[in-house]
Amino acid sequence: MSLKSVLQKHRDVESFFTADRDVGPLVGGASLTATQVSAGTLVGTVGVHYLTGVGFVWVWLPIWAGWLVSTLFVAPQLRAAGGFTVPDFLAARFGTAALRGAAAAFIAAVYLVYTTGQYVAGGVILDALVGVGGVPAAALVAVLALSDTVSGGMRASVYSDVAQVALLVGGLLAATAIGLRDVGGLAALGTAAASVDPGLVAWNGGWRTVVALGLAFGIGTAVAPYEVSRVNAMQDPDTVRSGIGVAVAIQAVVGACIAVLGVLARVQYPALANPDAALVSLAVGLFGPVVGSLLLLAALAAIVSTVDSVLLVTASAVAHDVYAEALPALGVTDDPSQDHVLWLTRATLVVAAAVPVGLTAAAGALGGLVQFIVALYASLLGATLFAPLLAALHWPRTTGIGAAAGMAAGFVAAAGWHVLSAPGGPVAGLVAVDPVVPGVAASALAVVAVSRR
Amino acid sequence: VALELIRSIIGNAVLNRTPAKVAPIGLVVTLTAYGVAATLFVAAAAYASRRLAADPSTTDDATTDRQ
Repeated sequence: MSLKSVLQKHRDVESFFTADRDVGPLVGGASLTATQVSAGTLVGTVGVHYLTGVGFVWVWLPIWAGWLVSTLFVAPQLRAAGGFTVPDFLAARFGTAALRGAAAAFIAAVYLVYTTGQYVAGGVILDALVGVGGVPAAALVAVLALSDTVSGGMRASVYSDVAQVALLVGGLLAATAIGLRDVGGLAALGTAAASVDPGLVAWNGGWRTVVALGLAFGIGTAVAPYEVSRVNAMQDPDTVRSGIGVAVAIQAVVGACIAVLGVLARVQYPALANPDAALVSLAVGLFGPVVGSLLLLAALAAIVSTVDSVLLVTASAVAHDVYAEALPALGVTDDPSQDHVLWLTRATLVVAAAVPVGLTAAAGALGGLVQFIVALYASLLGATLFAPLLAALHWPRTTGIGAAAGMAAGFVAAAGWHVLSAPGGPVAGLVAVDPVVPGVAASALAVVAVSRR
Repeated sequence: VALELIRSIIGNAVLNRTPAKVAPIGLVVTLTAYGVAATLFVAAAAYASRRLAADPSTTDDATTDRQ
């Protein structure tokens, strides 16, 4: 079944999810950055820098390695395939509606975990900004993310991303410059940090956390469906490669700024009970109302720009992949009209935004700190999709059942390892062995073993 | 018992490689090295972009046609 023949049936839906595929490299790169840089970065990563020091900055290297893998082996190839979701590609590659449905269901489920992490961080930010935390704060983030996406789809999301990246980078640069000026420069900050804890200025401080989270983020980044949705809105494969280069350059600036801010927070407030509060403490206690508010708005922009991307991916998985494609192909329902699909898309956007509001009450079971909730999402995603997607793109002998087996094995292994390695579990304490490692290994073995039968 | 064995093998393999001490070389040096690494990554992305620009497997519709 040709992807083009499928898409011609759904021209309006395609336009909603791809912005008519006319996004250029600068806007595309900014949108990839806005999607990548989330609460996990602005709240979570600053918190880990607060705990472990500047050495955690190396977590960006495996993330960029993930972007390079995407540049070389994933994103341009998916863009050339012409679909607009990862399940679109799998269905076209293997001609199976069941695999499309299974992949879409997994993507929709795993992004609920991710959105929950964003809402938890949004609660921390909004509590500091306007004194609203918990469930009301999560609901406010949901409304902000839905405000442009429900009506404008991918086009509204991409262009709001550009404004949010401008706010993000501007806020971080202003706060970093003023923070460094106040302590007497970078060298003076280093001296002050070393007096608090020499490990804060060590190149290898917190290296086990770097390895664990870096593997999860790097592998997850290479195949992340919410990045693929941005890729599929770009003009052509060359634009995709240029856009990824722009995204890495912007992320390098973001990474340096938050490393400095995390160490600065530790020097200024060495005894915070919750490391996730490091950025907020700086904004409220050190920077004054103008720069402090700018910094918190930058963090809020990072959260909203990620949540709107996630909501679009979830909506496309449910409305396009399951309702419009998989169910009719399996003979469960008739082909729906364009109007029905667009109506369900908007309804799914609202439901996908609302469900994680309730999940914020169970954030502890998902990893507690924002960075670890986000890492769990990245581990599950990478473990489930990395090996099957790369095999589907580059190994002609891959079969549909092999890809399905790889997805199932990866998910079970990663989720199982997460449970076993939780505090009190039989392999607790092995933080250097992130769930993505057994997950990708099991997934790759399953793809090869089942496809060769 | 099996899980305890796995924990023992993997745990020792990982933990024994943990450096006894961190190496405090300073904020400036670490961030400078990070900047160099970031520049190399952007250069690698640009090189890959140029090198693959004419790759027929990543031109529009090539993947669809192959299917």
